[in-house]
Amino acid sequence: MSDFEPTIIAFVCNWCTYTAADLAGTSRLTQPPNVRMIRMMCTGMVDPKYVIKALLEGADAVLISGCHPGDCHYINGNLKARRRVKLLKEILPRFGFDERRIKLTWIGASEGIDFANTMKELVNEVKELGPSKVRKQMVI
Amino acid sequence: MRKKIGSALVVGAGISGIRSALDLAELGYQVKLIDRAPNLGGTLAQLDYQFPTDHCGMCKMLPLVERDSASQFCLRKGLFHENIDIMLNTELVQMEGEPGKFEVTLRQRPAVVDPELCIGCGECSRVCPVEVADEFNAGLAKRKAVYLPVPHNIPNNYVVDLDSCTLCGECEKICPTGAIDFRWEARRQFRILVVDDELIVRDSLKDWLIEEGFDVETAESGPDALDKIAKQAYHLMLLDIKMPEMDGVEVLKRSKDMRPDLPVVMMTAYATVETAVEAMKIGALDYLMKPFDPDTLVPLVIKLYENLERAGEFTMEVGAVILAAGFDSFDPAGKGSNTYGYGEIPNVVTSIEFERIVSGTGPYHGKLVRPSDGKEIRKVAWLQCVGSRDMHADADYCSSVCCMFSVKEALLAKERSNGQVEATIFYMDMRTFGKDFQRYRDKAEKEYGVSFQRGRVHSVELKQLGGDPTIVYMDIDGTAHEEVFDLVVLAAGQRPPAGSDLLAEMTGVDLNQWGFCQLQPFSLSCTSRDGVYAAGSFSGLRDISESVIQASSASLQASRLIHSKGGGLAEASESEVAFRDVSREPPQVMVALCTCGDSLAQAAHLDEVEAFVSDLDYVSQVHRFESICTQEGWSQLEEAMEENGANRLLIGACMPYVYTRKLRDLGAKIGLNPALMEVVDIRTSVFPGNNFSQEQASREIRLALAMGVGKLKGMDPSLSAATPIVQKALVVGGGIAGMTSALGIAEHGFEVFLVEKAEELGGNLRRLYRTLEGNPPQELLEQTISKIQKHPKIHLYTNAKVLHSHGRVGCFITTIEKEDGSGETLEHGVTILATGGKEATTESYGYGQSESIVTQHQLEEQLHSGQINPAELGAVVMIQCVDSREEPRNYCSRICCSSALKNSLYLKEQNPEMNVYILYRDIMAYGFMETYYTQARQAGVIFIQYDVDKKPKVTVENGGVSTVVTDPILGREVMLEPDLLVLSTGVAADGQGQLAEIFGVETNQDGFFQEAEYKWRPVDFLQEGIFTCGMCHSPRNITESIAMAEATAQRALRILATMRVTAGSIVAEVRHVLCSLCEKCIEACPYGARWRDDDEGKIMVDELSCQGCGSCAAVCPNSASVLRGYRDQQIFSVIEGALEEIF
Amino acid sequence: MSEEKREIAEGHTAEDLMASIRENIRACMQCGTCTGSCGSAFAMDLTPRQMWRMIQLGLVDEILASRTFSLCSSCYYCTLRCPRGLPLTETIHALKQLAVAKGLAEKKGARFYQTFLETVRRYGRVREMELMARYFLIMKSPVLPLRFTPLGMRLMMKGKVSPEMPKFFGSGKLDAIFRKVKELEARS
Repeated sequence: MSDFEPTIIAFVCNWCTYTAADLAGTSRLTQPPNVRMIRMMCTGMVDPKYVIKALLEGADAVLISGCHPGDCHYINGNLKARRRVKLLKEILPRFGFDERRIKLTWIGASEGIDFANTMKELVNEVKELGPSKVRKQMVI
Repeated sequence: MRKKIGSALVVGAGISGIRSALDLAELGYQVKLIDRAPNLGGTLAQLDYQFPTDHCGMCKMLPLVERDSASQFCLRKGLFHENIDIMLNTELVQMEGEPGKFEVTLRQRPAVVDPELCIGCGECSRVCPVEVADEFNAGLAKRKAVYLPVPHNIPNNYVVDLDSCTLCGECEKICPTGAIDFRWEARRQFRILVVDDELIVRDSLKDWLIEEGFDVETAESGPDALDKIAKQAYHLMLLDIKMPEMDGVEVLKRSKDMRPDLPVVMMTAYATVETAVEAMKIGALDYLMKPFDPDTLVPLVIKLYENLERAGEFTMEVGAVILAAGFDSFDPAGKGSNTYGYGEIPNVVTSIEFERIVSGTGPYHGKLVRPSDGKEIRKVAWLQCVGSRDMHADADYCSSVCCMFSVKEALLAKERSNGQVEATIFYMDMRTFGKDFQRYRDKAEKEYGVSFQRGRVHSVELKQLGGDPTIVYMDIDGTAHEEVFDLVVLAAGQRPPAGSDLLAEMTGVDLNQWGFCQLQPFSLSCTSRDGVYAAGSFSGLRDISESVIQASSASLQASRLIHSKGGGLAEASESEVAFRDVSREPPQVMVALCTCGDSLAQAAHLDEVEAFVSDLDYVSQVHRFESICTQEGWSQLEEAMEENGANRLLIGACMPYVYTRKLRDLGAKIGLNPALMEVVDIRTSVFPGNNFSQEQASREIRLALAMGVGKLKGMDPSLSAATPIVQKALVVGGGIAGMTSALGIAEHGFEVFLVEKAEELGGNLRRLYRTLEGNPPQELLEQTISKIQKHPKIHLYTNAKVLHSHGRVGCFITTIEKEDGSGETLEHGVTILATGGKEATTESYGYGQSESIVTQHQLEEQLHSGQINPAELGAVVMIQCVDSREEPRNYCSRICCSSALKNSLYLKEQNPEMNVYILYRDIMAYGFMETYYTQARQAGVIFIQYDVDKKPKVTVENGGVSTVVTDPILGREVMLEPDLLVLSTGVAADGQGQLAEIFGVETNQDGFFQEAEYKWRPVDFLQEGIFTCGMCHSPRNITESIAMAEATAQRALRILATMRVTAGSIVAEVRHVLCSLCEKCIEACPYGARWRDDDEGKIMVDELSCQGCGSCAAVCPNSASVLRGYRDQQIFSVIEGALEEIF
Repeated sequence: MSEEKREIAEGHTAEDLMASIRENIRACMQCGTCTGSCGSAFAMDLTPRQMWRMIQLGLVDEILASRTFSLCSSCYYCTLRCPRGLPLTETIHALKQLAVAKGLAEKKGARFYQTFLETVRRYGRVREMELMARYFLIMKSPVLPLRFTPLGMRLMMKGKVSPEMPKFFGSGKLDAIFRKVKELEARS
């Protein structure tokens, strides 16, 4: 569908990525309106439940974005997130979700441009994947 | 937040200033933090990546307990703390008074852009016609005259740079909130009198100034002028010097009599400049030189006007002053020879410029391209010691940080390019003297292939057409090489900051011969003036970790002073606000929408939004306010909250971070916990430039509000309990570090248990008899011991050792074994480990086979005892880096080179005929010690450099020692037959492993204590409440150990200072009903804040250690572990709110 | 030109000279700047850095046997750039003096200078043909003049060198100055 505008939920960490998001804003980088940012204290706090909930509620993709390894304010929260996302990417396809709908990135506080680009790329990718089938096919 | 009696001024808001200010604020003092720049952060704002992680981590400096009183977001954005008042664009202009009671006058430069009104939309910058070099990007990019000083800063107020502004007024016209105000009206009130005998001068000046909006009158002679001033008031007089009848100076004198407040500016031709300077002594403000041209004259007058009319100056009283003025980088194109072609040859940059190139906020957005043509960088050379260790640059000192940051930059370049970049570092000595520095350098060389070339490069030439710089350098054996690089980075050294001489004069502190702040012996923070302390690079040449340590040391001194002069630290003043308990009430959210004048109504369907929000569950009311950011708007909000008794508040406005302080004040006023209030951003989507239709904008706003309500309605209303603290400290180790720490705490009125395993106090200091700078260690030892013994609050246990310890911060229980064998149990709130290190033993180089082979420390002792007599020695050889800087002890022990210098200088002094040889790998004479290295060479000490794979060979025969080493310059073997061979074996860990087990902390691979974070929390452990200082952390000299001990005392005090401490509203808790005791959460916690209480059969959370990261909550399979403020229900509501529109 | 051993003025022994040379160079930290800057380094057998090192280690004879210090063109690059601010060019001059004082003026480089100065002393200016003639004589090598012939021809054709016949007995107008210099050297 060419006019499909995906809805993406982004769990961003309060420290680095949120700052990058603010920076993207103050630098006047245009951002796609499809992304809904949910601020968590740390990506290590993102319970797999939240990802699943978001997907079940109809989100077309979920992005988890935090500090670079080594930068985490809470030492290693982002590393925990990495392990969880890896597991999610393995398990969720068995339930009919394309693993490309879940993405993990590291974005540092100065990387406003990377943030804006990541969002744009993700939107484009998801556009190609098409809308989430949850509403249509799943009985919840 | 507790508030104590006492206040301090911190000058400079770079990393050290922020650390000092936070320290004092956490103790409860009121702090004024000023900086003359328009932004916080100092030099560090420009540096994104730091050793050892090669990333940032500044946010770790924020408070760990009492978190709600401070900002909890990236420190680059800004800083907020209840007790800190930050004033930017502000300078110290006067200081008077005495320690404990200083009267300081601060002047804040006028802000053309009103910070309360600026929303950071950037329109002004877009229309500004002036472009100048951007200082934030070290000149690599351009900015407008109205600009954002640092991209991250919140609030992101634009600032007008009056020096380059042409006053065209375009920005003022386009600003949507009217935040820019050049105050034209006020100018019309500003009356200027131009006095000059020449008509042309009078008329032209009058024309130019009237055009600028001022009110101008003229006088053609002295008497005429005096006549005029007698009759009416003027605000400024421009006075010519050379006039017939009465000359300018005479007029000045008389006008000073008549109207002493009238500012006068002399106008002088070239010939009479001296008279003008004289006139300034009589009271003229300044002078202007003829011939005038409007482009220079008018801005000058405007600046004068601004300064006179609008500069806000005020005086306040503080107890102590901390100078954290930072440093400037050496400018290679400055005075002296610019042999590197900086500024002339393209692609020769300084290290700061390189850091900007790799930064995401830099001119190339983090791509490795070079400034001249944007070509990708593939081959980089780093030239060390530019502006340091160079007599011709007036710097016989080592800037200490450049070796390490060049290695870091080389590593960054390698990482960014996936190893494609060829990196070469040209150096004289690679000074990797800090903790883990040597391994970092080895990693760069061996794993990443960074090439290290020993040999100073003298100049950079441009021989290629494409702008590629060429470097000619000499190999160690004399072969010349010529190589072309893409980019040459000059590791520019440090210089005192601009204006340091003025600052020093004003505050009465002495500067050393290089212009840095002079410190007292054995101190890294005490200046020559009592009550004024130095923090950070202002006293010279230190890296981030040392700056942070020293900043805490300065704040301890300041606190000690304030406390001794009547500040109240031991008593908590009762200012705890009582929040009403709303836990039994159903959530009622009041939503406040800031309409920002009309702009929001025009951009979105506000009625629809309001209706939608009112419909949401648990929203009791929705109000609209015109401008919440103004006083008026805010008071309306306050009233509404008070009236309707809602127990949650959601504000939809712009720039959520700005409201942190306001919400706390509101909470205090209406008795509602600020954790139950939140601000969401509804403005950004409707900024001009974001081309959203009304539909889209409304949707964005609805979503933001729905998500906000979702989170808020489930917000935990329970108030955090405070943890009681046992206000006593345990210090393990009675060396100079332990003693200093103990004194630091005891002098604030708290009890300290000092446990020392030896018979006497002093540790390694007992056996040190002189220092490199010539200060007397034994005197220091005696003074300190006597202070310890006399202090009533210090309980000393010698010949004692620690057996066991358990507990949490605030309540540790430690058992010690005393002298007589009996045990004692001590209860304390914090632990400080200061157990020191010992000189390493060795089996290399024939140690132990002859009496003529001793260690460096043994040499010192034997010299002192007389066992070694310098007069009898004909030749002495010292070997550095014995068993050090190679596996298994691959670290630099930092103090051996300075000890060697110290002893060799002493030997030469006692016996100038003696031949002294020092065989070294790199001489670690960092900082101001470099000059002693020069002195040692001048005294005739012969230094022979050796490589780690070509070590000297020592043979012992018939009691005689001979050493063979290859001189790298001549390529020949040198045989030395000394009377004495001295081995610098370095410092080894001494029992840290055992203590680590007892206290539950970590050690690193070399056996030293592992701190929480090398740069930002160097004296903490991840375990809250336990701190470390001195050599047990890493080798360091006496002064550095003392500074670290003071920093540790400071960190401990912030816990001890009140009887009850709260952590923060975002902490973990356990729902025991659901817990299956699987203990996954205990593993997941990086701070060790959870444990299983066997008696109760429950998982317990230590609130003070918990930082609220939520790892435990994410890992718990039953959701028994939750994070207050981020419960599952809340997150689920937020997700639902975000996706509601899909339906 | 006779190969006389120059008399060392009293109070200025070779040892003193050596001591002051060592004094000057002590603070050298072998950074390599001087060698890197030296325009004549390509022709030297010992690099300047190696030479300073040898001074520090006391290997004076080797230094004096090398060509290095006599090839110094006094461009002062090294002195200007030395991070320790050492007086390198002056020290090289001192080495030259030391070499002469020790009677090592046999060296080819030194002989050229001596001839040059001799011409200047006699005539107050350089007379190229005379200079070269004397030089060839001193060098006692029949091949040498032939090697210089092409250059000499070109210079003569361009009028840069006048084909005057060498005078073997000159006016010696600058004698007084040279004598004074010797006196001053003796006093220093």
